[in-house]
Amino acid sequence: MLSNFFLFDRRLITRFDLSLFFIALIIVGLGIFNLYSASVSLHAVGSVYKKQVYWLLLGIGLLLLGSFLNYSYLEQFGYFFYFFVIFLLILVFFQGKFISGSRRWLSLGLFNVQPSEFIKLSLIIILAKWFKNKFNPRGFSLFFLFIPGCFLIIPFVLIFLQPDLGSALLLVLIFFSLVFFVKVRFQTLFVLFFCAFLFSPLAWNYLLKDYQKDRVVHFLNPSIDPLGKGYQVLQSKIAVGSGKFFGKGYLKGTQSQLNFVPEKYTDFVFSVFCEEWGFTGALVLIFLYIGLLFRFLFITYSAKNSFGLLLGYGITALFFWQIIINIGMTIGLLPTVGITLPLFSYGGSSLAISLFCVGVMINIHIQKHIF
Amino acid sequence: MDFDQEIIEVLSKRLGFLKFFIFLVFFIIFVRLFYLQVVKGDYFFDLSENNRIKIQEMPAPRGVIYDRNGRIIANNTPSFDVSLLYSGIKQLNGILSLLSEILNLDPQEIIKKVKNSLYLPRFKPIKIKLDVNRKELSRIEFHKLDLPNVVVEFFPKRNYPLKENLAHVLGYLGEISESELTQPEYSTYTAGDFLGKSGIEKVFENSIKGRPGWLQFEVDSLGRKKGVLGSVDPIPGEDLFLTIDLGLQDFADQALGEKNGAVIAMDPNTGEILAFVSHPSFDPNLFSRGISSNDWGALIKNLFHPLANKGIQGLYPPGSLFKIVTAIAGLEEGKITPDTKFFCNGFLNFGNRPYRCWKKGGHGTLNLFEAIEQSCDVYFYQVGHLVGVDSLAYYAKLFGLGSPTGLSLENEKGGLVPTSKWKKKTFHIPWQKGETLSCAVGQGFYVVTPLQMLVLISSIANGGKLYAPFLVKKLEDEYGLIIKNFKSRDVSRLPISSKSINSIREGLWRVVQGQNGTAKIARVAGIEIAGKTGTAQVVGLPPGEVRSKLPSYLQDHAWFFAFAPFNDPKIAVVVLVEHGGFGSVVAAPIARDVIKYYLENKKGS
Repeated sequence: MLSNFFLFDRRLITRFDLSLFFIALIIVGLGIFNLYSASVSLHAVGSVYKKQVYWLLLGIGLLLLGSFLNYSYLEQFGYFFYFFVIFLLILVFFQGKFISGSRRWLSLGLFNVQPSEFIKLSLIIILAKWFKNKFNPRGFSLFFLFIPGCFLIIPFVLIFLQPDLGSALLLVLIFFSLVFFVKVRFQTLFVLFFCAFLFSPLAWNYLLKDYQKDRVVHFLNPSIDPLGKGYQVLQSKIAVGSGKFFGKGYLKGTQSQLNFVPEKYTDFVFSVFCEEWGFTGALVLIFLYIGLLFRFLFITYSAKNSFGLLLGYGITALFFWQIIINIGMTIGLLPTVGITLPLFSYGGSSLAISLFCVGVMINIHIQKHIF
Repeated sequence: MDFDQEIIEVLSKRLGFLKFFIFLVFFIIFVRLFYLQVVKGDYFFDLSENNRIKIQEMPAPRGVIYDRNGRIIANNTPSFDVSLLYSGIKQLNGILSLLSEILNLDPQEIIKKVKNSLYLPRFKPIKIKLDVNRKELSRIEFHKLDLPNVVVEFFPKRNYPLKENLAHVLGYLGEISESELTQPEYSTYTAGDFLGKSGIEKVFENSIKGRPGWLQFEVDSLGRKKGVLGSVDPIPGEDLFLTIDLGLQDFADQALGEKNGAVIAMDPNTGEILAFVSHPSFDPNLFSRGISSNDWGALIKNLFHPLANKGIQGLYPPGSLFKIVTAIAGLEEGKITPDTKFFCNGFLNFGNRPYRCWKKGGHGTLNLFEAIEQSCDVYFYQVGHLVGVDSLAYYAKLFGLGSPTGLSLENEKGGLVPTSKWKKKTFHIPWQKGETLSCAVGQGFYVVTPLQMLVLISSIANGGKLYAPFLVKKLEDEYGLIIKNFKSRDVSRLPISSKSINSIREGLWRVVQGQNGTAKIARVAGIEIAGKTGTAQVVGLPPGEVRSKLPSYLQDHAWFFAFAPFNDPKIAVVVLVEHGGFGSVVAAPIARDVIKYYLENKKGS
């Protein structure tokens, strides 16, 4: 029974996707290396990167778990995971820890966890399961999108109210990435766009908080107030640009060391890295991410069943959007929303769940060769 | 299972497109990074350096101004300005409300200042309030943690211990104006700097201002200092030694008292100005860190023009002082000798009107000495008539009338020396002979400054040398090394015979020492003073009117100029009292006391 559960088999070792494993670990390693530099200027020296190291150890465990746990169990217990995380999100809503204006964390005594990180994978699983079961080669109609829409809306609202615009937005992106992938009918698409069109002014007026509106406005026109809201983006761009070709050198990034770069452990880690390692360093990191995504795509492509394919695709989309949005906002191409750089930014829950996702991908890869 | 394989086939086809999409998006990121880091790398690098490195100006103290004996006339005292570093500011509203409460300013006023200063260099803090008092300063220090970005800057504030005394010579400071900032000669200044706006402070600005120092340091995003990277010490301005004798200056200032006018004293052998008083005056300390609009309004609205320097900007008819020029013209042109006699019966009929002498009954028959002694108008009408207007003008110009004396102060007036040509050109009517009579006694078109009169009397005192008056003796650097010595400038040896000069001197001696002298009041035991009184008419008096019944602003100006000791002149003085009445009564005693004070205290030292 147990061997069935974990599929202990020699092939687990021989088919283990070492390249993906190492790409992920190199990114995390660079991330911790970078976090050390970002945190030396703080009075609480070291706490940030050390915590990240502890989470890495836990994350590697989760990665191995993901690798060796047959992903069909994820399908089997999809609803359970999903509603369990929804329960956690509701708990956060009432019991969550307030940190800098929002309620995102559940305190577990020793450490805090962020259920909004878990819901991303849970949503992918449950949507993959749903779309697989209801698959229609001609595309989904609006009627069939109602239930998956509910799967999205419930966590979306809960996270939006925390408020965590970035994570909420990410759920929407995952949803639509999957919806388009499994194909929707033209009329459905039309209705969806029409609804979005109607919904956006309402959202602008009633849902978005002032600071969120400001961010959009200042992204669209950063020169309105270079020392106010546009300050973050400007300082990030200065940090990235001032790294020039070879960077200022490790621990020598003045923009980050002197705290000009905002949110330098989480949302803006990439600018810290770019400042110290320059264009060359940035290219290395970007190629690592391209490698990661292409490996994901390859695994997805070779998945042995449609659930695996949809799951792999969802995880790929999740990583893709996080990477693009984070780097995009760091270099001033997209508005600042609080989305971290997966595997690289500080954040235990995010790191753990990202490594688990990598594990799941490895498992999809392994499964291909088992039957 | 078969159905599942179908799904896989359908979906797999769609994956191919994704690869392309990912490639495209990452290519955009690549291009953007290349643009930011390689194309614009240097630009952003400079921006990051600007972020990190702040430069603080350390103002140079202005040079100290001393009198001729090394007594302090203007120096610097510490003052503190409150400024705001706008770059990287957070919690603007909190800072504004606290700051406005402590400094007792309207928050809108602070915002206005910030907005007006946004063109300043990034590192330069925006001055919010200058010269804050001790209480405000201690409250700012107390709330230091609540007021990030607020900096207290030390500033050496200009201090004038004499206050209103000597203000016109010293001038005052002011903030550099926007129009000045655009001019190349002010290229070393930035907005908010103070510089000399008038007087010595302006004329000697370049020597006196020194060179500011710089402190370069690293700051974090909250503007907190992290370490000094380098510094250049300020170089204090050069110290300036005036020709002014502070003791005499004080005395002269008090001697003029509440009266409006000017008292100037000069060494007739060098041109050094020993005392320079102009009343009413102003307190230049009011300007040192920016004058308030109330104070400024009061100065501007004052009818007696406290900002005007009466000594070089006030234009007055010379009155009887001019008789010296008329006499010289007569003697040099050979129209009269000292023994030439004219008869005065109180008036002279010329054309179809009488020209009156100040003395109703007339002076009878007098020679030149007696005419000067008693200031007989009729005598000089005759001389003027003999000489003619253009000849009078020639001699007036020899003495420097009609053009500024060249004192190192701004906006010195030249006055007016009328000629027949000038009148034709200006009014398109020919010169009337009768006008020459008025000119001969210093009325009519003639106007002069008190300083011009001082230069004139000095040249008589020293036997015919015209000196350019000057105020600054030397400049020294901070170690006491002399940068520059100013020598007296002998503008010209007057082409006038010493015989004529001596005749005039004789006449001037009799004005004070003679039995009928108009300035007997100026006699001092032991000091031989020679001089001349003058009374400059503001309006012509219609027949039958009594001058003392006129309103004060139409009263005559009282003149007196003098030198002493007669045989070896050490000091020349001119006194003008606006609307003071008779020169002999009002002006002469002031000059007498100034001369007495100077000669007595000079002997002592």
